[in-house]
Amino acid sequence: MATYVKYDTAIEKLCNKLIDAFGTTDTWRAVIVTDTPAPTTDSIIGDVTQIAGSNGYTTNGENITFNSTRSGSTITATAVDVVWTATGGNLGASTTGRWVVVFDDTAAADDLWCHWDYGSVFTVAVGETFTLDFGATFWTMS
Amino acid sequence: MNKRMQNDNPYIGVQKEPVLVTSTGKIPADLVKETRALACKRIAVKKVASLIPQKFFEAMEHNQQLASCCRHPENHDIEAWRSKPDEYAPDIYIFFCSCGRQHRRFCIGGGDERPHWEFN
Repeated sequence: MATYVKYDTAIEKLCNKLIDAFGTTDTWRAVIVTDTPAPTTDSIIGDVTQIAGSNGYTTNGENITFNSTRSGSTITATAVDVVWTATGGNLGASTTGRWVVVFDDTAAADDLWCHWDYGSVFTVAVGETFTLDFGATFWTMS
Repeated sequence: MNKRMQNDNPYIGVQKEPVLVTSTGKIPADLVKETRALACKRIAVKKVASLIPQKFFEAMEHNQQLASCCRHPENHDIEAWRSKPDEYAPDIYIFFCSCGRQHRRFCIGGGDERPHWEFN
């Protein structure tokens, strides 16, 4: 799987009860970003630059249907795959999406959790799709 | 101009590429070095269909926003990439429809199969 990079502030916000990472209480969302994430300093969704909210992409992205459960001392998080379909033009009117960022949309400040690097810019042209595959497990914590 | 004069000229020599940085101190994606590496060459889906997880197909087959040709991934070609060279398995799959459209899947979770193939 692509390299999962957690934002430094995420764990602090988890301990400060700003992010709820257990169960389905909070709504988590995935967004497509066009400039380099800064995991040591980025903190909230306003710190990243998304593709435009057009042509099949909504600003602040899509709900990933986050859930997490506990077994013993381990929390396992899951999410449902997200599919963006470009309509009327390039998804987000963009040719420079590269990173995918997940944030907690229920948290008051829309706090960032993690990001992945696609490894190159990508364009989703009209009638094309971009799917995020969260696999069997989004993350585990123990 | 002799060689010494050339060397003394501050406008001759190695010039670094300017890097544009946004007001937030970040670098735009199109200026960041690519790390993606081809893992498996483009091939007809039919030749590797047994390797491809069913959900890859279903995401296209059930998407009513797609053209009818795009909803038949069994007729597409497929290519696999690694988002960076040291990924242990491909994490990017691109389906190519005969109409020219591409359908990308970026595998960011864990625990699923990551098919790969080697054909001449």
